[in-house]
Amino acid sequence: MPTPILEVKNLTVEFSLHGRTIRACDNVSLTINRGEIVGIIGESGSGKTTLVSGILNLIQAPGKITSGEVIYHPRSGEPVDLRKLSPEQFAKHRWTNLTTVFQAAQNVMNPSLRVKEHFLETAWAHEPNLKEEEILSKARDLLSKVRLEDRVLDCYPHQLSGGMKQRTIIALSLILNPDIIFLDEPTTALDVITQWYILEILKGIQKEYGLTMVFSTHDVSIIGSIVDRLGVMYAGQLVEYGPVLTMFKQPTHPYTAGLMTAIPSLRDDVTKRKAIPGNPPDLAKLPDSCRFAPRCFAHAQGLCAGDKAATERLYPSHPEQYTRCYSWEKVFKS
Amino acid sequence: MSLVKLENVSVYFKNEKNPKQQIGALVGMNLEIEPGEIIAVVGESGCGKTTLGKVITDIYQPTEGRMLYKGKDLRTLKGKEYREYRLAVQMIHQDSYAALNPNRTIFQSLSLPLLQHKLARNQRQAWDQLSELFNDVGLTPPEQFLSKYPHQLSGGQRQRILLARALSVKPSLIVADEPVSMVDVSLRISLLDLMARANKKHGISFVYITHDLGTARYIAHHGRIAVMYLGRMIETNQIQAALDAPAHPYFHALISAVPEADPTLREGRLTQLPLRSFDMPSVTNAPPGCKFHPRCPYAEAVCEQEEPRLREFKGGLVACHLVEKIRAGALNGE
Repeated sequence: MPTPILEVKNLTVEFSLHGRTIRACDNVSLTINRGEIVGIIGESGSGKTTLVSGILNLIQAPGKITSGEVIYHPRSGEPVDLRKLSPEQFAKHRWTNLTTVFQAAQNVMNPSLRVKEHFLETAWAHEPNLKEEEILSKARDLLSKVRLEDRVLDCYPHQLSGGMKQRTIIALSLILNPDIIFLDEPTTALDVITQWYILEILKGIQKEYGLTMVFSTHDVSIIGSIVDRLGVMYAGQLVEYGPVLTMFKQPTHPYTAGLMTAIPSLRDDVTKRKAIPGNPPDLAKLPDSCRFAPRCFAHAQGLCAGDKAATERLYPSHPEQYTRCYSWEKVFKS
Repeated sequence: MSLVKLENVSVYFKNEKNPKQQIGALVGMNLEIEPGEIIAVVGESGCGKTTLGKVITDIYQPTEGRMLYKGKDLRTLKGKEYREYRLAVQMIHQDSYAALNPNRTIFQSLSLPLLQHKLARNQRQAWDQLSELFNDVGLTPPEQFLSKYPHQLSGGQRQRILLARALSVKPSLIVADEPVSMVDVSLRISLLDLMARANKKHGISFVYITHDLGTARYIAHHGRIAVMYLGRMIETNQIQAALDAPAHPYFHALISAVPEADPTLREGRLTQLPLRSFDMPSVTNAPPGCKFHPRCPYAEAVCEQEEPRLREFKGGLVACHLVEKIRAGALNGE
């Protein structure tokens, strides 16, 4: 029986700008099980980064978390609602239990510090009593896990290639034995060979430490090779969530179905690929209907009215799979 | 007669730290582009594919070798002939935001070349011509887009505008440098379809530069592929033949690293890439002999000493000393 490690309940993040309020992350609820690799996919502006920042309480002004709970179940002890913690209390969990590898990780290192100093600073910020040699031997061990040599410790960030920096950041995120790691677009901007390599490393680490991983990406093609469970975001909402295999083979939301056929690969039938018509909506001018209706084939064919009120919740479709499309049975039977 | 021909073209850049050292961004490149042909140029970052595109569009001039347009050396073209070349060969850039002047409306930007080259007699005519093109590339209604500024449009829309701009001067060749890498996944295919349509309808040749083999196969499935590594073309063939049976060991590794979205194919994923090292050597410090030998699992003594030339192999061209041996070994299940 899988046990939950993180339960997100009705998380909403709003941004107020020029007198308008947009919900970049709208009432998102999902449960992440211990030891699983969860993928969050969506296009730019769909709210996947906002969701992760919301979970980690890293939303910056003008953004604000307006509602929701984030319940974390530690390895031992009582579950805590991360949203109710003071900044000092939260800091105890950040990096020790929950860590993150941000998008464009190539740019997150301080250019004037050696790699070694990044490891030391991070470790001391949370556990000031650690000995330098202790931290460095741990760092060397982690670097070898991501297949980097010890000499990297003495390098400045600019002396490393993009793939090496990405691997260094992954090692850095593991220095305090976290429980759950969030990776935001971990392989975007990397070449395919480097990408393959990093995915392989992540899988190895996940197996060895039993880590829970949350992967957010716009690249649908990488999820097939690594993810156990998949969430699809569209215009700030989670539109479908379920085990990767059924999500891929039997999607129950038209957007998920569209995404799965929009990606050209090396083995498919070229003539079967199709783009999703139209553009993602402007979050400040959302349609007064289901958010996907303007681009939805079922709506265009008159199979579904796209009633807004009915898309306020998720419906169970296949085992452990939930969809926001209330007409899924009608739509996917034909 | 081929439309554009590169004869033994090399582009060297000076190393600023060490002026004596020459960095070969493109070395000994031979390429012919026929009217109406689609060629996909693939390779990892730093392989020289963008430099190639810039030589074809005469943004960079070859340090060695010649670039011919309709059989004539570009450097011998004068006045009217050179202007004809400039119109005939157009480029679509990767970053659509940087490629449009933020201070001008789309109409102001796009009407300029039409008026300058007297393709339109006045503003009214330019407006009509552009409106027609915008309808063609799916920007409807056109007047809504023509009067906007670049920042008011989405990435997918701006990329369509760049395509319309390239088409507006009735070119015979378009060099598209990563045109969809910054576009949302659900919209990529529609842009590729537009390019394929322009190719069919107007017989425009395309050089599609990318690191994404999936989209290369999608757009050029009847065309050719050229694979580059450290400034050299190492393999070229009809694209499907090349993907089915890659001849060069590097191209083989590259194909194996491409992720597959379908989770049921996860088991088929290689646990080891056919590579000895994952990091690409730097162009400033290219190895002697075959540029790929430090990473090649098959390398022999000859590979360290002598740089292989492109030669015929099974209907394509490949630059590898050992290709017959490797292929025979693969057949014997080694």
